[in-house]
Amino acid sequence: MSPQMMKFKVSGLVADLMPNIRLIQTSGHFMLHYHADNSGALHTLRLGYCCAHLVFMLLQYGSNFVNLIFERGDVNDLAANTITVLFFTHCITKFVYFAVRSKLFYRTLGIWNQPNSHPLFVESNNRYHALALKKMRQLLYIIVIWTSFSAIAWTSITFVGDSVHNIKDPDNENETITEEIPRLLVKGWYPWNAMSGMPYYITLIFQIYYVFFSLAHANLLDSLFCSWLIFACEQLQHLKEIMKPLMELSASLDTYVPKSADLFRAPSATSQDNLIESDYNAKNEELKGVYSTRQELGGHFRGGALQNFGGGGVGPNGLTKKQELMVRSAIKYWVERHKHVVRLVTAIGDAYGVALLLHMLTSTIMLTLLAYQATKITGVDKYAATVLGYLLFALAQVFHFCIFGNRLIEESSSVMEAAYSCHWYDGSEEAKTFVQIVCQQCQKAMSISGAKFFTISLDLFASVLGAVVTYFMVLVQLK
Amino acid sequence: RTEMSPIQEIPPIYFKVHLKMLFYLGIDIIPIENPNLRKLFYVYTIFIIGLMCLFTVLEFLDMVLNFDGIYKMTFALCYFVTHILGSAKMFLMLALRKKLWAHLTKLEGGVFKPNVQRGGVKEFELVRDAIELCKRQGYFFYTFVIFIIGARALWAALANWPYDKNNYFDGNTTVIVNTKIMPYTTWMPFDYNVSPYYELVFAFQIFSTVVYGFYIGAADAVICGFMMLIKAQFLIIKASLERLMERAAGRESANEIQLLEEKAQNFAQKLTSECVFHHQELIALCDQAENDYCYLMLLQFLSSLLIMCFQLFQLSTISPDSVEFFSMSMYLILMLFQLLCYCWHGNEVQIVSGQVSSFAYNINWIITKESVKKSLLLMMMRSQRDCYFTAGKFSLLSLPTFMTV
Repeated sequence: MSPQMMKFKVSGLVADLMPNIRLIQTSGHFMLHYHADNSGALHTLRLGYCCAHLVFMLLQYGSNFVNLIFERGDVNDLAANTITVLFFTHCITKFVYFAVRSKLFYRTLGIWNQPNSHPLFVESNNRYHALALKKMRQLLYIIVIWTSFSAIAWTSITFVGDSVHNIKDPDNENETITEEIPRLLVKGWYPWNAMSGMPYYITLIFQIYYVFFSLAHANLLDSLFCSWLIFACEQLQHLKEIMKPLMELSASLDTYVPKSADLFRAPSATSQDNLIESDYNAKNEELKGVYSTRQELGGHFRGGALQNFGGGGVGPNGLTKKQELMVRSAIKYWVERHKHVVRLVTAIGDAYGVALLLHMLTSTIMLTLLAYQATKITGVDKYAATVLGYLLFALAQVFHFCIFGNRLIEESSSVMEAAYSCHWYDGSEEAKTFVQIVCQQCQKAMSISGAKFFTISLDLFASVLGAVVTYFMVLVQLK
Repeated sequence: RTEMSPIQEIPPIYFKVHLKMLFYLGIDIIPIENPNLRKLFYVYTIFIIGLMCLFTVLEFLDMVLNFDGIYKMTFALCYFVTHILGSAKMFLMLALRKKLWAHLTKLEGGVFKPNVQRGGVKEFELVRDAIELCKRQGYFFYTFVIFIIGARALWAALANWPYDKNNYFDGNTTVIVNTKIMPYTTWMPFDYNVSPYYELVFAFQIFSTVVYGFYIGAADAVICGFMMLIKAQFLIIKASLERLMERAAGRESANEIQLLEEKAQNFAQKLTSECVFHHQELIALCDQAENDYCYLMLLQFLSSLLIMCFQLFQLSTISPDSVEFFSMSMYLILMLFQLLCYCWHGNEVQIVSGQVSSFAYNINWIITKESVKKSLLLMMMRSQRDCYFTAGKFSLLSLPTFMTV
């Protein structure tokens, strides 16, 4: 399906995450959908913009790598340059990964385009949706501020201290002398002399752009992933909340009558998950008749309130047919919504799992080297600041997605507890079997795995942190 | 046949290719009908296994008698432990061959046979994919083995400059030392510098190593193939669950909320019971297979770990620019690949067995009666406990285990 033919229709997750998407597009990722005007010329222009970013990133990365090879004689320089190269490997990997697997990302963003709905639970749904929106915005602000702060800190620390490196003294083999190198953000090899004058300023601006955009690339994609997880968690909260009114619905007396207009709202044309109302209308003609004659008795159903019209009526388990159908429709809504959330989480795992695996592999090597570098800190100086900066940034990146992965695990395993803690003993047989099936299905928590190799949770973060501290302690002892 | 090809029956012995390979190497997993032929075959088996054991013993003797420092020792140990692993696998396969054949035939018939009425054409596709993957894994391993051994043979044949190993004087006689380079290290009671002997011993070494490589490759392929087939069976359960409601109601009923009619309910009950029976049989087969193979896996794991330690030690002492480094790193990659195969397929079986619960959850159980729901519920409950394969009962075969290695 070519981008030009896609109608620009903002709904579901795309609408919620529009600021994220716009920022991602501005930073140069290959996200070419979601534009109002996708004609040939504009599309090519945008593609060219992304490719230009890619070329610049790869050029600078290549320059770092060449510098690494040239300076491999000195162990300290080798370690420092390897850390820099690995750090920017994250960013390049995420950039290329997104370009290659963008179809999966589009699929995940489109998964929530047609959620089902039930008149009894609309209010709760909207409340949690608003909550999710608020949290996603907050996360985006935090990420943007943090990225800008890191870029500014990096730039400012370049202008502190000496800009030198050690090379072998050409006169005396065993001595090293200090030689001036250009005062730049990252050590790179350039075919021109970047010591001073115009070339120096151009290189400096290029490097500032490079650092800022690389950090943005990596962090924005991570925040997209975490926003998805926030959304999934809020949906699970919604499901937990409506369990109670659902049980009460099944236990309530048969004199309850909802406003018929709510129940028979027209469904949208293209439904991925068919709305309940469509089959209601199709299969239950007699029901329509029954409700419309009872309209004078009906009030608005407030979620959670047990409406007791008093006098007569059958007991909790002897529901009338229409009551049963209503309960069953509510159960169907719950089950379909839950399956939808599971589909969303699976899509998130498919889209981002491999990126997380690559991130963890690179981070592990980088953190090991950082632990080694940290043992050489002699005082509060530029070296200490840069090592600690790298360390904090790397750990913060890992913490970022571990904490949201952990929240998903916690939320999904608490669904079972919520199912148990509602008043199921008052409900009908059908409702009790429903609770049983839900408890059984939700015993195993939903989690995101790094391409099946490991699970994203705070345990992972703790093990990474533990490993770094252990290496550091061991290396300090070995000194 | 006028039927379309996907519905064609799958040929009887699923892993014919690898089982035939094992047959040529002396292990008759496919039973031989004729008793006389069988006796003849056993003679052949004893001959081949004897030859392999001889090779391993000679390697051991060389290690012991020509001890030349830890460097040479670890090199010899790499290959020696691999060949010990190969022989142990051979013996274990010989001992287990009847059980293995029983498991494989069980997976091809009865409730496990792909049934187009039950889960549709998908069942055939699933089993076919599993067989294809198993074949490809085996071929990849064989090719890699030939590549590594071929490279080493080439290197040994071309690099025949004098290599002073252990020239020393013992009293007044010069002890004859074999100074020509061999691909691998074995001890020979005669001087093999001379022309016909050199070629003979060279060929013997290459032949034995290739045969070992093929043993290990074929055994791995058969066991991993077995795990792939089990995964395919779990997915067949998924396909049959997906079609359950459709078959019971006679129509597409995914979005209905009215309870089904009485006749449809009874049919749904019957189909669900069949599904549960399939699940039970599969779990029983998994348990049995796990009991039979766990020691083989343990052996594999321990030897892989040991070999990798020696290989890494070797790699850390050779300079990266030499042919030996390349050959040893290729060998390391092969060992990692072998371990990865086991861990990957064990992990897949574990994941898919735990997913049966979601397969059952995803069907439209809302419109069925309580007894059908209860059957589904019990199936979900049982599937919460994964079916896993272990290495000697204490370590799961899974990707996290591979990561720790």
